[in-house]
Amino acid sequence: MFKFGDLLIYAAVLSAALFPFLREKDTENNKIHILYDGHKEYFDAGKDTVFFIQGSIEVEIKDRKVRIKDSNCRDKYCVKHGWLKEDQNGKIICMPNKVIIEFVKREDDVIDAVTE
Amino acid sequence: MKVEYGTRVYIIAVFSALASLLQLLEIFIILPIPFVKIGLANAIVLFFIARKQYLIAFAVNIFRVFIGGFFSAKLFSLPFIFSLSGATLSYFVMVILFIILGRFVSLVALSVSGAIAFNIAQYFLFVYFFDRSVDYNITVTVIILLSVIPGILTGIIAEILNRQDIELIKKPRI
Repeated sequence: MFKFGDLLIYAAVLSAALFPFLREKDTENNKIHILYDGHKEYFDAGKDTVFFIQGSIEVEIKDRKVRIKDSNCRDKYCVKHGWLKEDQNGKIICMPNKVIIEFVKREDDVIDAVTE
Repeated sequence: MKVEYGTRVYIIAVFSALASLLQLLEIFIILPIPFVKIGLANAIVLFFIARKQYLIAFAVNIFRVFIGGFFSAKLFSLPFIFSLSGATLSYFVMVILFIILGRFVSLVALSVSGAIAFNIAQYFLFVYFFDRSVDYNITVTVIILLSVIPGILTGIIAEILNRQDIELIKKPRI
């Protein structure tokens, strides 16, 4: 039932199982994906900027985080959402202005639909 | 053990039938963890690998996926493709490990590695089809840990099978 070479296989299995805990997360290539009214745009997460979408929504990117600083919508849920970090799987959504902000890994990483 | 062509066909036919029967009967064995099955058919493949009949092992491994898929009514569907790719990868992993390590390796360790290869192939194929972002994350750890226990069970059964001095081929009477 047990021979000496088994130790090699069990060691390989154990190291493969523990590898995700020992590895550092690579978030270098993450991009900020902004979808507004059917248009897609990608922004570099490392570059700190403040810009406007459609002249009414003010988006701020700082320290690999993103938020909507100001908006002209009524309830301002998007502003109250605060900063969006890249390790939390969230989205900032402003319904009246049709704006969605999220982090993606690559530029072609956005799925439109999955069906079987 | 030298096997002639005609006897090889008989052996492949009989043991493919046995393996697919085992695979189908496994549905009735309910384990406490969902989505986990023992994989008894792998014991027969291991039995042939341990006797250095690699071709018979490969044929049995592929045929039991086809026959099992036919009788569980998912032939050529997406789970069938996952199962086929997993079976192929696990066969090659087991054979290559057996060729490299030879008599220093037991069938339990081979079975564990085969079970892990089977599940990892299915997982990466699933992620490639549905998520497009193949990443090595904590799900792989869960899959590996869940594969170990059925792998050990199958390996013990294969070891018991291998210790029996089964006479596969009877000498033809002249």
